[in-house]
Amino acid sequence: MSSKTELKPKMRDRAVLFATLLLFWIMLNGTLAADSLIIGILVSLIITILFCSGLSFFTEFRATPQAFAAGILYYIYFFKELIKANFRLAAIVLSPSLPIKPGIVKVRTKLKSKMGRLMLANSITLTPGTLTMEIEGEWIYVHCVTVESTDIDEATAQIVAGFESYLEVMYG
Amino acid sequence: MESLLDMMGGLLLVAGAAFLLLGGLGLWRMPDLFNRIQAGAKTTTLGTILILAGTAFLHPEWGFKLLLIGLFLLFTNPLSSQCLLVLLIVAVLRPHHKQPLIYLLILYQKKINQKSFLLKKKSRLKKRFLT
Repeated sequence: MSSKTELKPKMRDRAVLFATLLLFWIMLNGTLAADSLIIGILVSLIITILFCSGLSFFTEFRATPQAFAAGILYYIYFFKELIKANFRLAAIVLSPSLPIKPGIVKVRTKLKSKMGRLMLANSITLTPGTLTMEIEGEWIYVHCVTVESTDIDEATAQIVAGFESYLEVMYG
Repeated sequence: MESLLDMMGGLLLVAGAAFLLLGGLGLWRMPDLFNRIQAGAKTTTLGTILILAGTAFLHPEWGFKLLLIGLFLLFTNPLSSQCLLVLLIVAVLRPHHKQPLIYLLILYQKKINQKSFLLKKKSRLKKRFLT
């Protein structure tokens, strides 16, 4: 493994992080005045140098039309699940008998990229009755309010598969 | 037109507040730490996003910034609740056990699943509701 091949993707990640931070700064300020732009560049540069291994929104994003389409579909699916999760939780909380059967389930993911896994973990946290606790390589430990099955393949199909199909296209 | 926007914004604000209230109720009613964090993570995200959307209807000129704030919340809120959970378990169980984190998680779950533990909690809850 030569150092050159290791350096290249790292520099690209840093450039992406810097660009994303600067874009956010400009969008939040709403101006392109010289003084605010200079402050933005300085702060973004400092953050990029300090947190070079950090993730940003577009790190490892595949800039293909399919990825953008999958991204839009992903957000539609995500909000549907989020609203469903809230209504289910409301039903559990409001019912006097508190119908829960908590437990920890181990599921497997096919995603390889860091950002893809982060998005998957976040999505699982916000879907009905599941909460990501720990990621260990390709294994994700998920806490469920109502455990439906402890079988790895079945649980994977129930919890992970919906999001994974979109994220696989987006981040791989 | 303006009154319609105001009405939509108001409805969204009320819906967001209602979800946050349900989240608070969940925090109080759920029997253990994991389920409480579940209640907190989901409702705060949707509730806050609905409140941001309602604000966007009332002040359309802020819309873009509110969208950015919502995006930021969407990424950081679930992550923060997960970090909180892991840290709490480390704080509660690490001093007594030197095993990797995931064994601690499973240990904690076993503790919860012991019948006496749950029953005690249940009777306490019943008392709270009956008296």
